[in-house]
Amino acid sequence: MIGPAFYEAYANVLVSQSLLIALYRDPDRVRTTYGLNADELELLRSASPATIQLSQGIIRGKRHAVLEQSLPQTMAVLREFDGYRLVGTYVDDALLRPDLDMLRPATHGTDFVAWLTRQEARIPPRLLDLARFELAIADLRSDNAAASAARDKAVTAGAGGADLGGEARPWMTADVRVVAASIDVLALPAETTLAALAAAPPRPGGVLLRKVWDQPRPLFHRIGVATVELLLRCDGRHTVDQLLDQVAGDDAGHREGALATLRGLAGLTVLSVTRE
Amino acid sequence: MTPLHDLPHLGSGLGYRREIHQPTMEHRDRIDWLEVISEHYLFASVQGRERLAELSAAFPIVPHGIEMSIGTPGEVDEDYLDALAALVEEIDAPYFSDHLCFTRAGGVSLGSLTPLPRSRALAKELGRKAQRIQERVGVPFILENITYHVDLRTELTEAEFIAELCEHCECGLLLDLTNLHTNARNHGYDAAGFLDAIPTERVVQVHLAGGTEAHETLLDSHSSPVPEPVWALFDELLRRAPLKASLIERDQDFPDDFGELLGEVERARSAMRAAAPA
Ligand SMILES: [Fe+2]
Repeated sequence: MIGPAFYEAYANVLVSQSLLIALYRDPDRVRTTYGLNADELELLRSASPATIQLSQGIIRGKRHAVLEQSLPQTMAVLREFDGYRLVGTYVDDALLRPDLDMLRPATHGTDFVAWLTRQEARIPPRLLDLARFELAIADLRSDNAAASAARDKAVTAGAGGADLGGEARPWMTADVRVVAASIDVLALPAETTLAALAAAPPRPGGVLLRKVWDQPRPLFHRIGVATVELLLRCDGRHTVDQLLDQVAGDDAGHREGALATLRGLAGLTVLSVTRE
Repeated sequence: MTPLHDLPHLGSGLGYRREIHQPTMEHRDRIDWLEVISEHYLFASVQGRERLAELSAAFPIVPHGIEMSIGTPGEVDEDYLDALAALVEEIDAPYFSDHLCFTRAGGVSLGSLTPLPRSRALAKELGRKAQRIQERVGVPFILENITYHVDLRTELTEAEFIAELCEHCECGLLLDLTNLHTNARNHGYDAAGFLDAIPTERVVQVHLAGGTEAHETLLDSHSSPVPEPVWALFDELLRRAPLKASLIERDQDFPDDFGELLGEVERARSAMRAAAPA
């Protein structure tokens, strides 16, 4: 009798080298871990280790392919860096996580960049700048709300921006992303290398990305540190007055500059507002 | 439910991939129909749905799934089936397809078509399950044979398993002749014997693709032209059963010259025409 326990053990053997070794050297461990009956254990052990190993490689390869699709340049740099050893540790771990399902491959890029952020000391400097930038591009490509917002804007082209009174609460529209970066990611070569990342001059600031309806690539705008900070706070929870307090304090000149930036972004329909 | 023999004759089609969108649209007069990957559109963005509408205005479309995982114990996810039924209706698909395998179990998403522990009891269980899915979606469900590497010592051979499953449902078969050729080579069995053992009258459609070889093992990478032994199997199958549709599958290493893919589409069409009763 072959039941669900068999499938659970089988799937886990296909994603774990140590479990595969245990299956042949310490089958009792596998049997008790998954509650297999004698028939199930025998069936699982009937497969030759070579064919399981081949399948393990194919399964890992699919995860690599998903990451290469959303973060192509980041992955190319990681391959150059250590031949994908670091990526391999992520993939081995990701394969055991039920929240990362291949039915929704777009979620993998976000998770991988969050993981890379936690590995900052182990990865090439500035790689995170590139990874976050590529993730924003991939995110805009797959996000339904971004596509709808871009389409609405294409239809209502030329409509004026939101009115920014002191009590208005600005937020970035769904077709926009902001990425902070320590270098000019837009100046990196199309095929980025470790050397190109290392040679990039420091340039704190960021990029504003806007999805264009019917286009696979968004529009990119270089923005300065002050604009990045301002935009990242535009989440619909803070009023214009609060935003100005946060980024400019009491300095009248700074406040005026920040307000002009907000107005400019609203005029470009990057910002919309909520009023209470 | 449309009986399999009343399904429309779709002819010779091509697997739609975004990378070849433009030439596919430009040469619509040389491609009879398109197969799209269901999961690319089930929960698609507005833009994805518009692309699908554009395709469906130009071609008959069949959704081909890779993540239904019919073999996973328990029922298939309701949301998945709802979305699939909506997709079928949206593009007015004559039928839909997925693989006879599992891709997830026990919280592990393999993302890879994985062979089942083939037994008579499982064939019966999955045949009934396939029938329920077909009735739920509302058009015929055709199941595809996979390329497999894990060689579990199972009660039934792959062909016996497929034949047994067909005893318990009215579903059709999508015979991937490249997978058949690949498995026959890798596991040392006779492909013609496989055709003898399955109910070929249930085969609605075939897949034709080319793979690679590593360490004397064939891999179904869908990255090269359809090899001659697969064309020979196609002719052999056409001698045994009338087909509704053939499909050239290419997922990577797209040729610079799109004419190569069109040539394969045309070769499949000619073979089907030559075999059709006058
Ligand atoms: Fe196939």
